[in-house]
Amino acid sequence: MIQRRTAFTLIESLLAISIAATGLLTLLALLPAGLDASRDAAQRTVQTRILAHVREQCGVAALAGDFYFDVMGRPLTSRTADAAFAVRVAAAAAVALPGDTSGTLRSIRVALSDRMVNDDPFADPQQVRVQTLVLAPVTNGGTR
Amino acid sequence: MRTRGHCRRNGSAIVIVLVFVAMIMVLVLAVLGTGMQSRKQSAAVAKIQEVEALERLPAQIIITQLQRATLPSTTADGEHLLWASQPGMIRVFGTNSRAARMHYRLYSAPVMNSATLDLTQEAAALNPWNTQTAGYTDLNEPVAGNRDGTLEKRFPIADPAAVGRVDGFALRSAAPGVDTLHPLPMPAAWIYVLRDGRLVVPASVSGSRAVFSADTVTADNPIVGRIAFWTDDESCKLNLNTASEAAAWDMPAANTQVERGHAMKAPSSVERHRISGHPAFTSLSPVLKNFGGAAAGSTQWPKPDVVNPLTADSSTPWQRYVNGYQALVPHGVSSDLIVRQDRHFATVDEFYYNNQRQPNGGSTSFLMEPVDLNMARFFVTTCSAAPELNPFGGPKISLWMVPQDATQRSAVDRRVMAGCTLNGGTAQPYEFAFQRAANWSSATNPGSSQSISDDWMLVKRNGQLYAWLQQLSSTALPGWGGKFLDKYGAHSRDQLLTSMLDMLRWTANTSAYLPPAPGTSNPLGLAEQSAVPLSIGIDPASSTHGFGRFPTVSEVAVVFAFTDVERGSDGKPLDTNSDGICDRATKLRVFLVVNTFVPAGGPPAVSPAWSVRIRRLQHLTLGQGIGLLFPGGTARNRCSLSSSLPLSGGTAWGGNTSAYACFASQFTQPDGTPKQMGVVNDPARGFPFMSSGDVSLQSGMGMAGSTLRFSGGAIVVDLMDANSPMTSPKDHDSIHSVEMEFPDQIIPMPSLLVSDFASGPRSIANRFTPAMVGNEMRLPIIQRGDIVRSMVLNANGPSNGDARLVAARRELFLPEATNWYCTHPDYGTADTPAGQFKPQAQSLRDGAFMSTGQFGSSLQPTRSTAGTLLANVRFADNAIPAVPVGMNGAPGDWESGMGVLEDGPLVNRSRLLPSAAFTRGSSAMNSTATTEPLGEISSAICFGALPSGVYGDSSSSTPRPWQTLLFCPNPAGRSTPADQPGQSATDHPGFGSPPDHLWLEFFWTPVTEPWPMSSDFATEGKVNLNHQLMPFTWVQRATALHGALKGVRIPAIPTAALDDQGDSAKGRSDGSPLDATFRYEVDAEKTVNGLNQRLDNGDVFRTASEICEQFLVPRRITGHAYDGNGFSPADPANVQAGGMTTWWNGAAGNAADAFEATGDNLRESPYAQLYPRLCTQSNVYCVHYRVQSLKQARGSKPNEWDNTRDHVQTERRGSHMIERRLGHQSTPLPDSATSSTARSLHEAQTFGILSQTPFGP
Repeated sequence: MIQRRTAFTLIESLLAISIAATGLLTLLALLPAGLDASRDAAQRTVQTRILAHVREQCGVAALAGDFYFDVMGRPLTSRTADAAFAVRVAAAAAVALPGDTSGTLRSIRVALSDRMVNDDPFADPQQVRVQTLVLAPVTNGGTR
Repeated sequence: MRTRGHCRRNGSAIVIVLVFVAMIMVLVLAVLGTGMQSRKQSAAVAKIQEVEALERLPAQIIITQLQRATLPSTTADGEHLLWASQPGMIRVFGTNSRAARMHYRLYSAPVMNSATLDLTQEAAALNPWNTQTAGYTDLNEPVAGNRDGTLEKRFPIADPAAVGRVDGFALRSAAPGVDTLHPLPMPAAWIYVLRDGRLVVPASVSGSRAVFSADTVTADNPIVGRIAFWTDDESCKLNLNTASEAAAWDMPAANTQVERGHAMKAPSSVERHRISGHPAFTSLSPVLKNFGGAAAGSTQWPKPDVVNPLTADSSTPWQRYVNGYQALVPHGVSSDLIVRQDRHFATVDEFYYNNQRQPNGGSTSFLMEPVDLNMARFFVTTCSAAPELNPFGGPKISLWMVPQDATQRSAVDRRVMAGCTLNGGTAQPYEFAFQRAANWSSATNPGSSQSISDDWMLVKRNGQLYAWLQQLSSTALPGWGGKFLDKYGAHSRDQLLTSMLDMLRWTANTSAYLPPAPGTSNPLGLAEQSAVPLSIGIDPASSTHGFGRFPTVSEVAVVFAFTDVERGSDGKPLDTNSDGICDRATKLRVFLVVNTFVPAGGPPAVSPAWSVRIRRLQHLTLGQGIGLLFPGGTARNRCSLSSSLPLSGGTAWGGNTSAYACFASQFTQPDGTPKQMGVVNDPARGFPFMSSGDVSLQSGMGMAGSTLRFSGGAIVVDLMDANSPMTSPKDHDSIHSVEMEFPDQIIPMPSLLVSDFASGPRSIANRFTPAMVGNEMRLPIIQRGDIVRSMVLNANGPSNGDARLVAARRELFLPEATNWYCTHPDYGTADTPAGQFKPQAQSLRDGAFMSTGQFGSSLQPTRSTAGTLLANVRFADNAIPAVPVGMNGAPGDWESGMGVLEDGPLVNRSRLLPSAAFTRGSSAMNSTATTEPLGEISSAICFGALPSGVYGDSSSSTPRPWQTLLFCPNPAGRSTPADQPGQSATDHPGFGSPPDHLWLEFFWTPVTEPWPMSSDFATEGKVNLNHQLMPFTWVQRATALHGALKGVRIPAIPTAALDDQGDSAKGRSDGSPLDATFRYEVDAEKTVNGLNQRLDNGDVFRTASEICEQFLVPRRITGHAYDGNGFSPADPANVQAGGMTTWWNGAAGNAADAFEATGDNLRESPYAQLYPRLCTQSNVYCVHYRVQSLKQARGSKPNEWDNTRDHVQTERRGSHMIERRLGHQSTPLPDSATSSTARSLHEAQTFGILSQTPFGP
């Protein structure tokens, strides 16, 4: 009697395909999250570097206005096509020392956005990372 | 039927799919995990950045505090402000009150700034720090470290183990909250930081829980961190780059072996550790002596007090001691005095290595262990600086006077000027230094030192700076409130300013300015080391006049020299009663002798070139109008002999280190040839002030035993330029003029010996020819048979015998001159009983002589020519003071003569040629080559010799004799005990408000060697008087003050050492030095205790000059001989700072029971050694911080923080070094001296963070 090779049954195949589809879909759905996390982490690191840079600049001179950085966090002279981040530096309410009613410390609000597709990167407050710097006032003395 | 194989194949697809899915899942999860991990890492980086931002916050707060405290120079309503710093606090003072108007805390506290301060409460507030952990933290909390297997504590600020190892470091009381983990707490309040940057402190703290205002701290603006900090003042530490180890040196105060040794071995140009004003004179040994592997008592680092001080310069132990320290620091010198080539230390850590990257000090076996270095960090620094600005924030004026012509300036001059020039390197430099019109060039072109006006009229800058000082002294001084103008009055104030400017001309940097001593360039020594006084203005009501190195007139003597007698027919003198006395004199000649007095006498030897004119001599007559045949008013006597010029016998005349210099130049030509008597038309060769021929007495006059009438009259003695032409007198054509009136009085006839006239008329031609008497050259200008009548400076007149008050007046004419001069006590009057007339009523004195006597037919003892400086004290024969006869005690300030030289009303505080103080004259010695300005003049304390009441004060124009600027707390007149507040103008007018010592704050000498320690109007290495640590008052760290005091020596001459005896402080009777000492070292502990009295009362020192109000407590130096030699001064061993008045001045009214014989210059000497190295303002601060980033636990109330529940995410500790300095200006600053728009230079300061040092062992 000749033995007959049997193939996967339709049910088996359907079952396997459904399991595979479910699993793959589920896993593939996770993949963007992982990639997002990686991208977020990279961006966050770059943003941290940008904020450190801005903080250093604020420490040596009165800084205000919008500033732009590329994807690697390198400063740009203007908003070019390479601009990946925008920073807006603006004076905030002066900070008072404890027990002192007069605000004497400079407070600087540093807002950072990566929404460069928008005309105004800072339009959506939810997408803006904000840090407050507290610095000594800039005096009328000369330079060092 | 299904086979088994069939069965196996069934489901394999699922298995394959599952395997495939599993693989995909692993891959996806890996991607996901990596992403999440990266996210965590980036979040951590962000946290680090946040805590780094927190780390910088304390420094930013302190910079803000420094800006607020130190930048404003005036309030909105124009009140001038002055600030003073100390560790932990800056106080700002105004002019309306002595109290601080604002206190700026430099440590985290619930209230950072306040107008008032309660020192007790300030410290008490910290007592519960260890129980209220949400409110306070210990900044000095140690961490455990492991070193070579040994567990050790490392402290971020101060290691308590340094107590007992480091001088000046002590725990004054128990620190609050001490336990095993916190052996030396330095608690500070937590300041919480909110998300929006606001800084808040808890409304209440209970243990670990802090509650904040719910209005401020919200869920939207939560707490994100907290900071605590305390700021050290780096000027309270010893600077490793500037300090070294002091080797005491000072100008000779007496004639002892030690003083001579020092004088003969003056500091060389590289021995800056011997120059008391230099930062290198501050000692590192208070910190290092017990480090470097040397235990206390080790011979490796012998203490200076066990080294024989008599051989301090060369003995091996001392050299090893000093070199041990010198080898460690960048500017030190090695034993062969080669400047060490080394870089400066950027941080204290670098002290561990030398420039060869080997352990520092390897050659001296000094091995500082890392643990030592950590311990030393609280006491040493590598960066400290203090502003050199006056109380109004303007540049201090350099004491180093330079030529106006920049091409005449030396390399040293240029370096100094670089330090005192505003806007240096720009097109608008403003030099803050007085300047000279011209240097000495030749005997015929002597420069402006020989001009009464050139340095004023030809140097515009001098006028500008002078006017600026007038303006500043007319303004209320911040911190004090008074004005100098209101204290002295305008005339005396201006006189002071003129005296200061004048003094700077001849005190320092004189080598190219003053005429040199006899030598190649000045063969005859014309005007050797002299300066004509500077005079400003001619209006008697306002003109002022310096001293120069120029004579004034202390006495004028009229010598009646009888030249012939009545003779018999045989031509022999008639002697009717055969008693050997001529019956009658018939002829005489009269001449005048001016006794000069140079208030600026002393080393280096001085021989002014001057000429004298005596007006109105024609009014002097004898009897009933017998004229004395004097020349007319154009006659001059040019007096330009250098007393240092070797005469024919090879010996110089000498006497020119004494105040009684240049006496002989009246009678001797510049080359030593005697002047020709009666020659009127040749001032250089002739002596005109004598009868042009014999004056014949009328019949009946001149009988032995009778008297003559000397009409007297007012004469004017004009001291003029040596080359002034013989023209008719004009107003103000002299340099210095005095008028005096000889009374119309009878004089006795002398007993003329027959033997003197037996061979004929007696010649007076030999009187100007030196004759040897013993080993000394003498001018026999007064001989047997002469009658001499003198007008002397009146000890009971307006000057009280203080010749400085005469010298300070360009013209002293009658009637103002009434009573300034009086007749000699032996002058006699109509009431003098016959037979009691003294033939020679004179006190002429030449500085060349002391113990061997002065002028007269027999040499008059010097004692008879002078009074006494101390009431009822009979000075030793070799120490007769330079005061007029008849004086019994100077009620105030006088100067000790250096070395063997006499005490008196002197003004010279030059530090040139100390060896010359041991000769009464000087061989041809030039001024030392100038290489170190600080060695010649380091502070304005040299002005302490200047009279401050020449024209009275603001309330009275009556002159104030024996009153000079006061730069010490122990003037002779002080009776107020040292431990009682309230020394006042009754003790000395200098104490009156504002105190004299504030003048010091207007002057400085930039430190330029071995590298520019002074730049941008700040000097590195100064030590802050305000050493108190706020608010940690239980800790005392006076280490830097100990270092500053270490090399200071206090000279103190007991009256017993000058009292009548063979030996005195001026040496033994044979001139040899005593084996004794009159110097004391400073007992730093006791002295600091004295300073603490003020600090403990909640006050601080506003200016460094206030050290002049503090007693430096002396201590005998081991190995020195204080007793013996006929005196045994009180040992200060058991005297505290509070007992110093009594130690110095003894019982009131008794001038002989203590150290009353110490002149004003010696009393001020230790302050001159100390003051230039002190400050009360600092430019460098170190912020010790502790910061934490915080996150509240879920469910916590936003306005509450609980250490036990909420989370400290990150903590950082460390320190920031902050510097303030005069920054580079984009536009030049205006000239502070002349511009109406000029502002305080404090306002032009910039601030920056020099370095950050994490604490993380």
